[in-house]
Amino acid sequence: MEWYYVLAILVGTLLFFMLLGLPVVFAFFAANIIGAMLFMGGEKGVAQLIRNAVVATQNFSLLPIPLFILMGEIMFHTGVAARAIDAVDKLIARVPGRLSLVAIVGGTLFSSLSGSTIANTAMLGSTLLPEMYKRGYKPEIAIGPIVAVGGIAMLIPPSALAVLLGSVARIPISDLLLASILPALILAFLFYVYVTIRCWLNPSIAPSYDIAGMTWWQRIKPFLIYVLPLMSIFLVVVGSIVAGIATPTESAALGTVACLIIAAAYRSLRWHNFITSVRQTVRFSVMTLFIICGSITFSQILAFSGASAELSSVILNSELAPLFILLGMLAILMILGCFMDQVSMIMITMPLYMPVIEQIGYNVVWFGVLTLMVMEISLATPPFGLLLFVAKGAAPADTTMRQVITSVLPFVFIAMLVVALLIAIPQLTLIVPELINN
Amino acid sequence: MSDNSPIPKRLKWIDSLIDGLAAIAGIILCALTLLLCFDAVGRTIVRFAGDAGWGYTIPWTLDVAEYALYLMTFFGAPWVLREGGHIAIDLLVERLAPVPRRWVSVATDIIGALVCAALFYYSCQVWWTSFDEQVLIHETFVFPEWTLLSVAPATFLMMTIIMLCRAHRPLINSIRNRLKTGL
Repeated sequence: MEWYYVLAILVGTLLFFMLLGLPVVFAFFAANIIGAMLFMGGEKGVAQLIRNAVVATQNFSLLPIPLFILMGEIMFHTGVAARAIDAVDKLIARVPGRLSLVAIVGGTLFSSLSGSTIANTAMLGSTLLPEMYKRGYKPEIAIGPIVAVGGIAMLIPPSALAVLLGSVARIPISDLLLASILPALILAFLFYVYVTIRCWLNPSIAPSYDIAGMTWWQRIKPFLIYVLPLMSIFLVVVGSIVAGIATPTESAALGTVACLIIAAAYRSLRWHNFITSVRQTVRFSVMTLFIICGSITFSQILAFSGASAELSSVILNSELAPLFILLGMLAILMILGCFMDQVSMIMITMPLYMPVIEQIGYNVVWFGVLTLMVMEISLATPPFGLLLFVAKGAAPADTTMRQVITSVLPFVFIAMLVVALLIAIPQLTLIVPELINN
Repeated sequence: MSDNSPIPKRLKWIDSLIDGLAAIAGIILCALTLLLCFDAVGRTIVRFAGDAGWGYTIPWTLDVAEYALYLMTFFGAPWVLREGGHIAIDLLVERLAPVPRRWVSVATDIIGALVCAALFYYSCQVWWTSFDEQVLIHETFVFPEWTLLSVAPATFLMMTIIMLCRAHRPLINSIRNRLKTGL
């Protein structure tokens, strides 16, 4: 059978079942059973599918996924993250759009403690949005920063998604985690500048208000107590990798224990919030890892049938310049992200993308960062970006989807600008891992 | 036990089994965290303290951690399914009128049950082949492969039951959860 029929049958079946509302993992299993029957020798192929599913998660490089999620859940459920946001809230004063800036700084901070974009957005939404509305902030400046900065959790280590991407696309995970830091900080900085300028030009969207009279020490003290110690968690995770003491997996375990120690030190660690954190972690991790079990054979069938190689050679033999091929790949990710979760996006596209990227000779770490950036943008892209729904869920009941989308669009535009910047200057992503590796 | 469970009361023991396995998945997660930590710390001490005899290495960490991740995933999967935690895309389904939506929902549950039943059948075959041929895993520990493969048929069987129960129950709760989970 011609390779394009194989591709059409596999991808078509998968999308059909997904859009029918079948859980993604079963859509993968269903497409793979059909694919294995047709292209991998019938029942022997399905038996291989079972073996693949069993072996898929027996992979050391996937271990940081549950551990990074656990870190975020502990910080969230023990209230340590909320107190840190509160401390940032006290620190930032006398600036236009103060609470929106608190969202950006606090969200970036929480990103360095949590590997989950959903936890990040939900926490910021539930802690800051009610206060913003109470203070007369317009939805256009209240929701946007929360959705935008929520996605930064995908970039700043610990990032469960970066680990998954690195593992599936065979990109060095340590390098990918380190390379994402600088782009994420550039993104957060530009969001900060945008909010400041916007609120300075139009103060009515974020009315200033009197903050209870506090001395300089009263403002700085909560930051020293509730924020600075949290940086030790980031240092444990990134520092142990940089120092060569731990692998990304071990750094995740060390980071988790550091989170527990800090929560205990704040006397916030209770049995019930620990159990809730573990329960939520099992839920998110198993969901993700089981999709990997279901989808691992997908790339094998594509490779076995020759579809991956043929598609790759068709693209490479075309007259298209490498830059356009890259832009096309990123555009497809953007479109997929409008209706698909990131795990599925990675599992479907990476087996097809990576051979092309390697053939062209692009740096895989740089491509990995671009992929994460685009997935982060797609999460906030109308009409179906996941974070839009999370933010709407956290916003007051009368907030419309239109308001959420209008609020988010400028931030999506800024993020696209940063992607363009990273494409133009790849060193922005590669400098950190290069400096550390040298 | 979940109030939202699609499993009928007369099969309460299945609910309890699913809860028990999920609890084991949670315990595995905690044990895994501690094991990796101890290993990293011990190895670092060896690295810096040299032959002083203070540090330690745990040679079986990598293998055990990999098996643990597999067990956590397969023990937790039925619970996540029962709780509606397996991500689904409901963009089209939720735009349908209630009656067709009900039927699409039932159809997807039946397809899901068929997929799980097929996986159960083939995982039993794989298990039997491994048992029959006495295949051994030769890593840090040497043990029969069928012990590791035993978990998969049990997981797929429980998932088949859950999907069938979901297809059987009334409209309430049968619509997929909105796309609300992710990383």
